[in-house]
Amino acid sequence: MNKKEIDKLSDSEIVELTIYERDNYKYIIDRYEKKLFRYIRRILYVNKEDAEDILQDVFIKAYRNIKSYKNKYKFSSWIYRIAHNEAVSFLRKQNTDITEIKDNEIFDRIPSKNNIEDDFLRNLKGSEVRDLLAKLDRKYREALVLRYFEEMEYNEISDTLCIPGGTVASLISRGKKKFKILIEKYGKNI
Amino acid sequence: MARISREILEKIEKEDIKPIGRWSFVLRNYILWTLFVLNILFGSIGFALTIFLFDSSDAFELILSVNDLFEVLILAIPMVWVVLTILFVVIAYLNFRYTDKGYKLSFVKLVITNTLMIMVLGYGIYSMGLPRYINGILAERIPEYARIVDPRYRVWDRPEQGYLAGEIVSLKESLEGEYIMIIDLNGEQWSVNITDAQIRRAVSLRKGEKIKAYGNMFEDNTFKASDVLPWEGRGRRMQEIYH
Repeated sequence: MNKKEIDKLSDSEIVELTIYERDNYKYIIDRYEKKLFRYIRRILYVNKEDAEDILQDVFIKAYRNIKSYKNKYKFSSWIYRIAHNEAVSFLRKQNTDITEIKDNEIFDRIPSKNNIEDDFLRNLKGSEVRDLLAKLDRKYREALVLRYFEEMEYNEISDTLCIPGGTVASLISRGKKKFKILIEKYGKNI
Repeated sequence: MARISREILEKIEKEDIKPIGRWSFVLRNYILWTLFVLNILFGSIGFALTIFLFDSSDAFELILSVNDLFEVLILAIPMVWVVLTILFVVIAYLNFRYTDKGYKLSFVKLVITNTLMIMVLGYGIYSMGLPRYINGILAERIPEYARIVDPRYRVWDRPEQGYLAGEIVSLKESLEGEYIMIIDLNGEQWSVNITDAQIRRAVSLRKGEKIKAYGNMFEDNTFKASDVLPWEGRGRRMQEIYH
């Protein structure tokens, strides 16, 4: 199969192909490695090497459990859920959480904005925001990352984090408020 | 990134990693659902036994006649079955939580749903009269079950407060009145004056029958009953004055 043909296939179809032929798994890896790598870095605040190790574990685990995937659900939620579980497991092994990271000068560089919602959305992909997100509790950070970085719908976040839809809405809402407090605390220019 | 992709595929090939069979996921889900249903069923039986045992302790029957109603109510709650029922609700919650889409319902909604299911089903089981049968079997097969679990052993084992229960060993009638001799729940013998007592129709006053009596305790293991109730059930709508 050439690249054009592969691009036309849905995730579910590639999963089916992978079940029949192991080598097709590379198409899944190609589609998700960058996204998951970024996701892991955003929620864990780990270095590149650790993120790569976690990513490898995610894909190995996903391959082992590929037959548990049901195509009535979104594949992205399924594989992000595995990434989420591996991230939690990594933190458990390290016996730490990234919010323990000490205050950093980086917060002085957060740009000033009047409207915090706009600020959040506009600067979403900036490294300062990533550093700032690292100060949030993991539950809020993950919900915000999935919503604004991975651009997932609430039901997809619910499937990824295995929590009810109402809880997702509440985490995002509270997370944004806490984010605002963080900006006020660490952004000198605000 | 291409390197990671290559490394992953090489690892899968080198370690001969294979996908886990679909049947094991189906089996896991099946086991979780089975455990969920069983826990709801056990919880319902627990709830049915709770109602049965609470009801048979006559706590509500005594509502108008006693001063220590709160104490009676506390003693009448079969705590062992209450705790077991709560435990089944919790286990049912955990079983459901780990099914495929179990996380969709919030903790509160899930616990309320499970509790309601157990209450409705439990009341159905109680109405069918099953708890009497189950309780009988448990009391027969488990030593000390009745004494530990059955609230009647707590409520009706307080002669000082006017609650006495036991097995009739003999009946006596004289000019002074009518008496029954009973062996109470601790094996002590009592002479119970039933001359002015209200005797429930379900009580037949025969040797070997187990009864409950409400009244006043006097010295030398004598007791004057104002109300004599059957050990099983309350004889509601069947009461009459014996005389």
